[in-house]
Amino acid sequence: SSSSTDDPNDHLRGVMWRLLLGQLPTTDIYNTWSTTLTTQRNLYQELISTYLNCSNDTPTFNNNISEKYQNQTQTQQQQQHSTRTSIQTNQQDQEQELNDKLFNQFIRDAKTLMEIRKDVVRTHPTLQFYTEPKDNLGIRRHAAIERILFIWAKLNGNLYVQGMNEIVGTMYYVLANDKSKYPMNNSNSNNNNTSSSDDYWSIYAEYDTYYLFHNLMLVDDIRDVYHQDLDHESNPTGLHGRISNIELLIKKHDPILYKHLIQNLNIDTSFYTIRWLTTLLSREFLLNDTIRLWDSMFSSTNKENFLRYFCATMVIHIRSKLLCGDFGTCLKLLQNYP
Amino acid sequence: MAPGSSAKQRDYDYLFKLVLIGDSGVGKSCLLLRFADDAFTESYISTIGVDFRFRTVKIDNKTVKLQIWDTAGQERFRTITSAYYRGADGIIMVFDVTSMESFDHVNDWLKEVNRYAAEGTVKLLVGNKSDRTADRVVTEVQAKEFADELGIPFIETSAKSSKNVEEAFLTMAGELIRQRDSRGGGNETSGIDLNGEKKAPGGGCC
Repeated sequence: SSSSTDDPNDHLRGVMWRLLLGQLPTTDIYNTWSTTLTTQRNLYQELISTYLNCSNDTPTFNNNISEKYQNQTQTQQQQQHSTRTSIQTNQQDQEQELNDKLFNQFIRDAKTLMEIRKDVVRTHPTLQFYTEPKDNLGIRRHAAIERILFIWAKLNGNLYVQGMNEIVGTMYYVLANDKSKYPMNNSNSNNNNTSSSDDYWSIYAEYDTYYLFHNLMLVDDIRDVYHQDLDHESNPTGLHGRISNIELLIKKHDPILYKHLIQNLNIDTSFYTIRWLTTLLSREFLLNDTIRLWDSMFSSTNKENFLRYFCATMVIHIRSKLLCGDFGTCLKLLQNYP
Repeated sequence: MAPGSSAKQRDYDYLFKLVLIGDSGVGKSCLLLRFADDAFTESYISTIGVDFRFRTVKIDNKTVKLQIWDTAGQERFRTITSAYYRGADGIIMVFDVTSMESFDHVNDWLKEVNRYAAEGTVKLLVGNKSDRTADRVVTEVQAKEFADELGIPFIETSAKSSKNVEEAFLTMAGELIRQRDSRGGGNETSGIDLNGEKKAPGGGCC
């Protein structure tokens, strides 16, 4: 892949990321890509229309659903106030139980959506791509990443953690700016209506970002970092497990620096690596540098390993400055990298 | 490190560790940006994990160094950030006067503080975004009553207009000085020693 985002070969990036993260099959591309993409995009469309009402720029719950649940709340309240004298049949109990379940899920979903929305407006807040006033483009792009995050959370036990928004925001930026031609066009002559289009990939940026993110989360158990239940150090793929792995690398390759930071200054490795891990370093570097870094990370056969070594190297790379620093100086260096 | 040697080097009379806590989006980082850099930005980003800022202030001719820990508000990070209360001299609980939810959650935050922070940690309740009068849902009286019940000082701030931001941190610092002096502890450092700059043997230091 290219070493600079100004490189004309850049247009390969979107396709490369899809291939490297397994969204697209690497064999028989002319026959399989089109069907793979169509299936994925239809499914995403279906998910969106099932869970969200997207007629406006800002997604809300499907109106029918929320009305149904509003009625539900009222019925529930009424039931709470009335004393149940008659013995209900099993069926009634089961129905009530099911309704309670649905209602609780609705509340959980609403909370998740609010949590996501709080962070989406804070994602790349100065990048013109997300602030573009023309045709409300900036707002609509933020709405797209909000939908991606919500649908993913919805299908993964309402899992949303800060940092995911940065990853999706960066992926969507890359895919939405993809001007490459559809590779099928060269060989497939009856696809003329789309073949000349420069936005063949970019118009599906939201759909495809969803799948890129979905696949990335599964690779090397990257999503375990976000699971609070896996926080304990004994889980090597959980947040603290990964942090202690980085720490071990520093200790192994630079015991003097390790002693300085951890024993002398009491700088816990989590002070700076939580953000590094949950955002895949996208908060530490300029956008184009992050994208270039991800090229390498995604190309790596073990992405988790790549990230771990990269983080340890970042610390060791500035060792001479760190060794002269006190608590404050070192934290400033590590939290405002490079 | 011998305690005596660091006392001679240090450039402050007091060092305090403060921790900012509260729901996501109430403006903790903005308060800190205003206090540490006297700046404000509408295009803020969420804090992940913990951020640090430092500011030295003069109170009654004494140099007070504040080491401020700005924590993530998201519930996911709560068990992680509560570990940072350890060794805190003061904890500032922030809510947003335009969000009843964030005010309701102060109780939950307080529980965390009582559970993890040392006894005697000085607390302060801050209602931020007081400039947004049209959107206000938590009244000053309501918050004050709540704080009085808990026996915690309360102050309303606006990181945007900078109203009371300086006062909030200085109130906290003043209280901490009073407390430390009354304990007869003088100006010993607590928590993390900012001057813990021990030269590592053979570390290739500049």
